[in-house]
Amino acid sequence: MVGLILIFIAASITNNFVLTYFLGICPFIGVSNKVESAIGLGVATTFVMTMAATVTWLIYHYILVPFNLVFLQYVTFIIVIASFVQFVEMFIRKVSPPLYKALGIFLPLITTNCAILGLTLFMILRNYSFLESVIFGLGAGVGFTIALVVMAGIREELVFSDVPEPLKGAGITLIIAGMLALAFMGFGGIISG
Amino acid sequence: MDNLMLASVFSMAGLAILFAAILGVADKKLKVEEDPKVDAINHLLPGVNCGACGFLSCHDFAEHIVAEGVDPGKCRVVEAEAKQKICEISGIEGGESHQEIPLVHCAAETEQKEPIAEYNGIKTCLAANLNFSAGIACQYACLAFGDCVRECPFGALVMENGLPKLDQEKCTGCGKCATTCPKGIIKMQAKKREKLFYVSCSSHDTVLRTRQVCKVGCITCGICVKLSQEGFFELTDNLSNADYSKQDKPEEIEKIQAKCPTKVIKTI
Repeated sequence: MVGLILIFIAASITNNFVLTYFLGICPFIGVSNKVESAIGLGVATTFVMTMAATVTWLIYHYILVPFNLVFLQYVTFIIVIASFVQFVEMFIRKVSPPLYKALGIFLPLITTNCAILGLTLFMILRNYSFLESVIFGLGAGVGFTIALVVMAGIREELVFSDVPEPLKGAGITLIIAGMLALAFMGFGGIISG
Repeated sequence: MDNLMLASVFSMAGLAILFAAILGVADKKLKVEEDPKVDAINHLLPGVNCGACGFLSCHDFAEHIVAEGVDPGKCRVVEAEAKQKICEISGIEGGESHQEIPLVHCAAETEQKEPIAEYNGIKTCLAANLNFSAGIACQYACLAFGDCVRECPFGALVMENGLPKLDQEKCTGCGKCATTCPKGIIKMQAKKREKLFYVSCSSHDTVLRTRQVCKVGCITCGICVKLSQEGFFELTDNLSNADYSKQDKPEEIEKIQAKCPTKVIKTI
């Protein structure tokens, strides 16, 4: 039990995928304009991450390993991730058209979010059990959402601040991302691994 | 070895079929009903997503026509016949639009551009503009690296002799060239009549300076202003400007055009 909690906290905070591993930077910069859409993308990504972790674990351990097909893991994982993203896209389009519009191209781009492929590969590399993998996926998704929402919150406030001319836009965003990453380093002492 | 190959083929195919089936079912269950009008209009629109109408894409534009009654005339690319059909489908009157064309406000061809330095940098106007205008003395001159030519989605511009040349047949007036030009010397202008007269120079330098760096620039002699009683031209900031709303007498402007000492008044 303690192990599971540790994995969750490690994945979401101390080893945050965005701010510690620097995976999934594209949506982190692209969709962090508004808190609302950041939450939307965060939840969508969390769903995909959790489901991807669950399904890839099953496929890896019950299909790929018994048949000696481990070399196919990348292709398989990408198929799984792409399918879930397609599913999420359909679902969001049906349930919330405004969110679908707000996310735009970044919704199908969850497929190419390296944080998700990274998650599945880490999971295999660290020999997690089934339950651990699910928790790991959930934690990583929550961590991604936290990073995105914090960033969006800051950027919403940033509109009112006096940013030097050359740093406006992408420049100040990257500086803030760097500072956030530094701040998250502070959590590093809690858990290792 | 054969087993491995068979196993990989079958497992991959099996997984692919499984996911395809899931997605197929989901597609049926989660189908979004869309107004068939949107689709019909979207098919009539050119589908180049140039953005000249002010919307994200042709599909977005179609949605706005149906939902909010946006004037289909905002699309500058679509042909008149298709526009008529769009109006019928959406039930909106109008669709009247004037074709806008880009005017290049610089007349200096390659040999007329006075060099002050040699430029060996990146061959785009954007980069050259940051580097002292690529060594051309006149800081208002066309840099001739053809950013506008590359930007044009319709291939209506070609670089010829150091100036972009317009093919009016192909031009749809989307205005991408005008926004791309780092010098801002391409301006969009509605062409309402057979002939459009414009001053092909952007230099706000003084007469002396313009004379030194360019043989075909506007030298603010004011002869065009003096000769036109109805104010076809006016002088502001060391540059003559054509008043496009007063060009309904082309013969008179042609006379003035012939008197211009540097022949900077052009017709298109």
